[in-house]
Amino acid sequence: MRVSKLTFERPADVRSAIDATGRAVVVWRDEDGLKWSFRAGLAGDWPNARAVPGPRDVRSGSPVLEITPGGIATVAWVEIGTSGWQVGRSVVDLGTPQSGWSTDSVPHPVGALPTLAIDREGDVGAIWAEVPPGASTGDLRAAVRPAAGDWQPATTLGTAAGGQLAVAAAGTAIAAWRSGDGYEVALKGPGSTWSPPESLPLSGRASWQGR
Amino acid sequence: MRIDRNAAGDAVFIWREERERTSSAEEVPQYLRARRRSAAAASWGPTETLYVDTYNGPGGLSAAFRDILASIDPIANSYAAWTGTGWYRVRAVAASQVAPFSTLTESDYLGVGDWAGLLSLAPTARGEALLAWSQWTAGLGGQVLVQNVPVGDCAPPLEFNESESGRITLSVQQLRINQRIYSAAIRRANAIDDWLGARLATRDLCGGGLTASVMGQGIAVGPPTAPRPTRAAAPRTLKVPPAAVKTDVVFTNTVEQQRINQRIASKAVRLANAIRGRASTGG
Repeated sequence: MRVSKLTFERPADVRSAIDATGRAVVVWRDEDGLKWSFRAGLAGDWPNARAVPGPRDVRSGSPVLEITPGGIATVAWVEIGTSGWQVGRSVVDLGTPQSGWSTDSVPHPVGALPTLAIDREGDVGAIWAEVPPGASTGDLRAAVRPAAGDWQPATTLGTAAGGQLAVAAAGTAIAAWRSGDGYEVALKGPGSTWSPPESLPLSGRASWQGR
Repeated sequence: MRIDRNAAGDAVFIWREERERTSSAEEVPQYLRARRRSAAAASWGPTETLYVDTYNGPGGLSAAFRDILASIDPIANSYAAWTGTGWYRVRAVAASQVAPFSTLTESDYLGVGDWAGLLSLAPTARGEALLAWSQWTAGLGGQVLVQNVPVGDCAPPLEFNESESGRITLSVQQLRINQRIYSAAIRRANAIDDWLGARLATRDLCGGGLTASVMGQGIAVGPPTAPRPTRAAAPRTLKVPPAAVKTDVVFTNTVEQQRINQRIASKAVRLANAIRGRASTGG
């Protein structure tokens, strides 16, 4: 086992990503925004924390982080903008980490705060439920932003209180959400089209609760 | 629940599951389950059980399985990691597309602390993933730990067992015992040499066992291009002939007999040296 030590000050939502060569990035949230540290290899040290420029009001639980095979680290987060929540994204080239992060934020329609996903190409996805006041479920919506493009149109996948999303290369994705006594799953191809939901029942006993 | 997919459409889906309690005191098993999707077959496989827990304390199911991570690599090796009860125990399991997940037991864990939080589970596309977690233990403080999670089910190497010798006597019988030990060493060395000379077969190797983490520096390990079986090894038999017992030999404690024993012992060493030579020259 290889062990290294990184000391945090009042961290929350600690995220890390490691590439195949052992280069690692850790990002965490504190009261000032997002901080990060970069280690050049499995046996390296963690330098002092630095700030990711831009985000301030990062929503709890939202940051996601990945490193591409080419050494580009991407972090995305949810923050509250002027017209609802928005997803911020910042990238840094680990070959020249001193060049710093470049950041942009994209506003989204009003809805429950989304859950984000990111893949090893830097593609980012968001899934959220637009639950009417007083209701427990609503339209489950998802959108994907390929690393090299803009957000694709959001799609309504079904009715749920929330869901999980994973994105993969070329803007593909998969989403899962609770439905009845099991789950429903939908896949997205490189375009913006999602497959019809497919049911994944639990272990065949209605009394079992899955979460 | 956690879900992941690769570009081809292979996917892994992990969730936790429990039976509703009939009373707050009832202890019920809680499960971490998985299903995997094959892009080639365009279908989901059967439900698999990664872990069974009987934790019945505060938080229930949410405390039994925390920080669940799921990941799948480009050739459909699937990985899952989580923290569980028993302080914070860090657990991880991996399986290739053609093998089922193992169901971990209570003693299967990578780390334990007063608190632990999983950070990332990153496949390397070399048949393993790197799991990173932060861990805090009273007296030790906080740490970020990284460990590889290999695909496959390779048994650990057998440990060298250096047992204590029995009672030694200065006798003809002891001389005969020593000669048998030397002869046994020769027969085993010959068998290993023959086994190596017949060249390695696929069945000799544990599928998924030769990952980047077991290679020395300077060996380039590229990503595999297709799913590999991860069966445990079923090596060719090492054919060690039985000892040839000569019943018509009279054993005497003479200089000549000592010389014979020394020749036999020396031959065992020379054979071991020859095998060592093969290893040191790559032969």
